[in-house]
Amino acid sequence: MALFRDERFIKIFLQLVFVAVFFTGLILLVQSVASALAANNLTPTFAFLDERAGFAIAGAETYYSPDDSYWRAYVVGLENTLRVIVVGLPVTTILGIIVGIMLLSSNFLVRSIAQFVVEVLRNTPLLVQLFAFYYIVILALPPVQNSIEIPEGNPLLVLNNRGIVFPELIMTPRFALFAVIALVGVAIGAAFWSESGKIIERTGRVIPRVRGTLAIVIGVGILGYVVASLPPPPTTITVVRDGGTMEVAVSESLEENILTPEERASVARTPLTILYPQRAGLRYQNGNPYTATYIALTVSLIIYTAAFVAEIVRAGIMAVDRGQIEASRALGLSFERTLSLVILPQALRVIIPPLGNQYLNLAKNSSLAIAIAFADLFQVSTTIINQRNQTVSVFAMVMVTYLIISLSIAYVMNWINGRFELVTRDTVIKRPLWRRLGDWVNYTVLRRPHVER
Amino acid sequence: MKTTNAEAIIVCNKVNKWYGDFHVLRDVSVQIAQKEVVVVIGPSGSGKSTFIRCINRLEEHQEGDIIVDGIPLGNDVRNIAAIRSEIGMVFQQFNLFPHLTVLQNITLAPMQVRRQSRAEAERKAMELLERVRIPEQANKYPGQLSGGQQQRVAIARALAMEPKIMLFDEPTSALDPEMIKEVLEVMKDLARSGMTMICVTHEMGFAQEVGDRVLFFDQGRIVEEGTPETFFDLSAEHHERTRAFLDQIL
Repeated sequence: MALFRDERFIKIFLQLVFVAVFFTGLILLVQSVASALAANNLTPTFAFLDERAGFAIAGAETYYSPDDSYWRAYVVGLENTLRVIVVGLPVTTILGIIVGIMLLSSNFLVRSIAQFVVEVLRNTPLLVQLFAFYYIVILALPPVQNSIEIPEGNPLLVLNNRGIVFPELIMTPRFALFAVIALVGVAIGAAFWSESGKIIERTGRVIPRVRGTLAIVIGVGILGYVVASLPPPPTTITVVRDGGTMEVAVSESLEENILTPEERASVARTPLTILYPQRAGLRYQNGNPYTATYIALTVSLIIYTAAFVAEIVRAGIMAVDRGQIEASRALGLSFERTLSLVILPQALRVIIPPLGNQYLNLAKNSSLAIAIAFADLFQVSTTIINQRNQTVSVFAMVMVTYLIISLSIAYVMNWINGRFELVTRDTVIKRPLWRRLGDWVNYTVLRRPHVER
Repeated sequence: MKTTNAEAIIVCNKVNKWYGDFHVLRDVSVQIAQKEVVVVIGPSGSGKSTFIRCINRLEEHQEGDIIVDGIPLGNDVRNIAAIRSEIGMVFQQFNLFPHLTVLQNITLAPMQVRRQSRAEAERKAMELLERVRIPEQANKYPGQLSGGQQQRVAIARALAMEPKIMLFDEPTSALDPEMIKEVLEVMKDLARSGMTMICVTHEMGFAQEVGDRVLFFDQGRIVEEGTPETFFDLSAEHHERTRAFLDQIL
């Protein structure tokens, strides 16, 4: 038989031809891009990353200055992107599940409102929603000097057109004792959880497992908080001001508000103390600030993506066969148990793959930050490009960074998906990688015969 | 078996049901005694499935009374729960839980509803699997079993709740011919063990072998009832509907 009519040879030959053509094309492309860039004196390099960035990043004043390097600016941008994603994914999931269940509600009003909102959100562009939210809601808030403080004086929430500020919880030296006692409580709670689980399995007795565990953990936590607050606070404090040290009475210094946050923590009576935001001129000091652009981007992404998640949740629950519910009812299972033991485990199987896609969409859509000048990964990168003309190297960095973020999300979702897969007659139990490698060496390289195990 | 009011475990009195304008059950009155095996037959769309689904409230009847073991079936959720705990049901499409193993399918309700311990529920489950002759499949998933095996698991799952009454809704209609036999064998064993059974089925052999009574449904009514011997006797006197149906199947 001629070699060229042998099916096995043709298959291998065609693959080799394809690989050769592909890599030849790739090499030609890279060479032509490189030579064109070199001719314009733009040879890609990463050397500039160590140099002074020279631009400010809004909202990052406390930990980044224009004197930092481009690399530092890039990392700040990445952190901002991750802040959006890390807050966005869980909140989107919860909101999406709630709205998805509303879509299935038997109450006409609830269902109609949910349907209307979901349709509006799904059928208008995210960019438009982002702008609308930013300009109509956020920028309509009063300027800093007229900030809305809730409640007035020692606010738990400050709203203005620069963003929002929450109070800060800071740990005092007493926190260590509280933490130790609270951890003991968690340990006792965990022991109760597992022991009561065993008793329930063994005897079928009814034990309020969740409530019992919560009561132990919270109870011991409160006890620890009280115990840590028992020792009396110092009456005087030594402070360093203008190079000299002086001893002042705590009560006076608190009234006159002359202590730094650290000093206030050291004289506080409780393991945690709250630092209220205070306006100082045109900005707020203390507290946790969130810039207006961060809020606009995060909230818009959450609302937009949650509309899609809601549809996915609705479809997933609808996809569970009605017979499953009938069988559960015939067996006498209550509605809650039917939902948690029968419907949801099967719905999740349908929900998780498209949910992963929505997670990826949220992560990638966060690059719309540039439209409202939120300093995310992409916005900072475009600034760097404008300053240094290093288009190819910066875009390469940006793409690799987004790729790593997306692949991490996809990997986690694939892992979760694998855990919910149904076992059927066609299910192939996947052996671990090292075992499959061993099989490959055995059967293909060493040519040992296959053995059924 | 003769039925008298005293030993009747299921009493239906003038039960009526509509799907919108469609009158699906018309004045269905019947009494079923303990340990009686009743076979329900009739053309498709005659209301026979709807009838047995009304008995454990998978469907709601709009008029008439259904009383199971002395408990009236109405809108009272407690009565519904009490009646469901006395009735096991086997479906045409098995309706096993595909995400749980065979053993978990059988032990789920005894552990969650009857609050049995895992050890006890699993011991019972294995006994039942012996009874339906597939103990070796205990740790497989439903998707790994044949249709006949799945239906036998479904029977074991219903029996695990120790019901007084078993309802079978066309249990063999979705099965290949060679698998019908294995399921019917299990059902015959069950009938001989003294279980009260109502079976909607097209298996006339089953009806003749273990049935005590045959109910013939047509257009939502019980047109004719009788022992299998008289019902399947073509020379006996029959309603014209029954005769037409028997001519088709015999």
